[in-house]
Amino acid sequence: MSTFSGINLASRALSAANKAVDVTGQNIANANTDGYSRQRVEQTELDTVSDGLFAGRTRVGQGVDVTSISRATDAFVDARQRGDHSTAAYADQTAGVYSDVDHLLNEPADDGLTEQLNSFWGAWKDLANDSSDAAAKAEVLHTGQTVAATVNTLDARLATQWSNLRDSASTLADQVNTTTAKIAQLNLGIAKASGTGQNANELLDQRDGFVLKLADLTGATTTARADGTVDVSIGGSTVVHGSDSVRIQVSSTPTALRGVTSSSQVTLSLVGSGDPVRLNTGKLGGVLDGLNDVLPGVAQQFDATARSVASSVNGIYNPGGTAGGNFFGTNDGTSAVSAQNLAVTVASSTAIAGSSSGTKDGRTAAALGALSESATGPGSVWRKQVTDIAQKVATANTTSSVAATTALNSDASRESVSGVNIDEEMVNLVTYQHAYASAAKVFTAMDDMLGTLINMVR
Amino acid sequence: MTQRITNRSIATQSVANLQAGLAKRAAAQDQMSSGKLISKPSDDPVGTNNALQYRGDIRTNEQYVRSAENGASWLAVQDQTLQDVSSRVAQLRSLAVQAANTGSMDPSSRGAIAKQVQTIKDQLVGLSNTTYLGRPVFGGVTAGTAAFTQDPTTGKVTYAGDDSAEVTRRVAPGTDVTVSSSGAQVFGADGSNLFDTVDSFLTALGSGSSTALNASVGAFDTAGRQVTAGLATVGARANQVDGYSTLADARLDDLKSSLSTVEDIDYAESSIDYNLQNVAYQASLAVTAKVIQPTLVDFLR
Repeated sequence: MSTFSGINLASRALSAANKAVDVTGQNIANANTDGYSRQRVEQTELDTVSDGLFAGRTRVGQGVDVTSISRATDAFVDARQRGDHSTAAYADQTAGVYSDVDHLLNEPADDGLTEQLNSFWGAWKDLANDSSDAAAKAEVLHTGQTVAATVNTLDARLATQWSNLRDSASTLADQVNTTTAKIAQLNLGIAKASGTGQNANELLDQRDGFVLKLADLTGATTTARADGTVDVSIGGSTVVHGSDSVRIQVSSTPTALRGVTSSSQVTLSLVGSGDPVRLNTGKLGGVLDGLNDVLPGVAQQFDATARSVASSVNGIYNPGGTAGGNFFGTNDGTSAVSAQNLAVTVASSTAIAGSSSGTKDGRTAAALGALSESATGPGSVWRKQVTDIAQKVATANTTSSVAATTALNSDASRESVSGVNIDEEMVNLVTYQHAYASAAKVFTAMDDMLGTLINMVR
Repeated sequence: MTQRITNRSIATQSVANLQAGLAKRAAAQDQMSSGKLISKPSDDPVGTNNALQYRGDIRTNEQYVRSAENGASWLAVQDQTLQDVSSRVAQLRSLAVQAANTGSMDPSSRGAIAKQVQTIKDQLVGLSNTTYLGRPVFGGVTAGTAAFTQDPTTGKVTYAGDDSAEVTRRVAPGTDVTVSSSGAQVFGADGSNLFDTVDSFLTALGSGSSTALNASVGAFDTAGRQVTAGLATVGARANQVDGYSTLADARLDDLKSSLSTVEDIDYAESSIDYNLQNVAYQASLAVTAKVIQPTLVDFLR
């Protein structure tokens, strides 16, 4: 052991304490930064490397050495957080789609379809009481047109909702592409840093932040590689491989709600290879479900109501099925009635007949009015569908709030591992401050001792 | 594993709790301001189902009341008309008795009676064609404007109504009440109807045959009974319609209160609920403000 090694030791201690204070400062500075993982100075004691012939018997260590600045993370907790986030984002998106449908139904309300149908049946009953009254006929025509218009509006609003959702699918796909590109870029930085033995903590934090965002969007899963980089796959296809990323695209067809069938759906695929990306989680997964299942399902229910209105009224109004003799028909020249094309096809109110020909028995009008009492009539078909949709909405809302709570819990778990606790940092700060002061004291003592030695020689 | 608590996790949790509290308060406020328990179907799927059903039932019952009122008017018109007819027939019968009893009556007296009878016949034709809202009430479902038509030359009156169906009013689920009376029933079938009886009486007055005059007395008795029977039927139907109308009215009250129970809020309950949510929210605000403030920094000097 040399005379001056003590000074060296003090210098190392000062440097270690200094670094520790710096890291504590970094932690405090980023206490509120999203995705930041707290860092720790990893230090180890240095021993003397002298097992030579003249090595003294009483050896003193060489002080302290800072080996690395580590990052407090737990891969398992991070993976769970990503999984919970993608489930929550999916449930939230689905609940959002349903919630829009919920508002669109406009029930129970004084101007909802139920009340419009009630008015329609009422008009027929009034006509039955006086089967030649022009005012009663006009009322039948008017209320019938209102029923058709209300059904058309429901369908149109659903179609608009679909188009908006289709737009958001494209926007989300763009976000996915931007995010995967960033992850690939950060992967490159991380690989370079780890290759040269540098500290890549900040890059890792940023990268994990983008991976979490991608999980939110698509339910992305990761595979870690030895150099600290990760490969990311979504829906069974790899989109980030080291420093390379692949873009995804939304299929160009179908372009409208009515174009969706079991064989024509909005899908995702990789640009270039065209490999399919099948999402069943994440926000984008929720959007695709809304586009392919939820909204087309609701449209079918609207269609069933429209068909029920047309067939039950026409069946009584035009029992013989005479061409051109129906009350309800379509406004687009096709023969299949849907919520989109339901229309009153009676030319004018004077053409409305509420009785058998040549009499005023009001039989037809009475039978149509009595549809309000039917347990299988249009009113009851619509009521069942509203209830059915309402139950689905309520279920989606519950699922969403449960998933949100779970996601919040896994956020808390991650925060528990990686978050910054100010109290803890303050304690560390004081500890390292004392360490620095003490190391300085050791240095002063060494200095004094050397001074004493030098003065002694003189 | 012991959960490490960080300042950020406290903040996140606090925000989440405040959000939940605020959402509950907003929901309570929404119900208070709209006065509705159900503002969209998912608020209460079962309640929505019931509400829609009640709304349909309310409109249907309102219609029963309207139809019953319309039917009652039909029947009231018939009742009044048949009472008038009945008194005319009684008048004719007493004229027939008068003509039959005084065998010594001279042709000029009989001519005077015949003039009266002719006037009454004209009145009867008018009464038989009484209309309500443009429809002859004794004409069944005829599309024409009269129940009986009179031949301008012979003066013979024949039934022009259409009895292929009855005029009915839906007054309860599946229950239709007939509100028309067939002219052929009340006034008699063509060839032997009230007007033919009057014509025979006129002929008898012309001939002065006491046998024929006595026969007319009997014929007016029969016609009178027929009209009275018609009156009884009309009265019974009016009672029926009235009963159903009262029933539908009562049901309407029940349904409206049921709908209100499902759709509308109970203000007392809702305002208590709102206040509870408000207190809870304010309490969590106050606690959060205290909890997120202090750290070790506050105590290191």
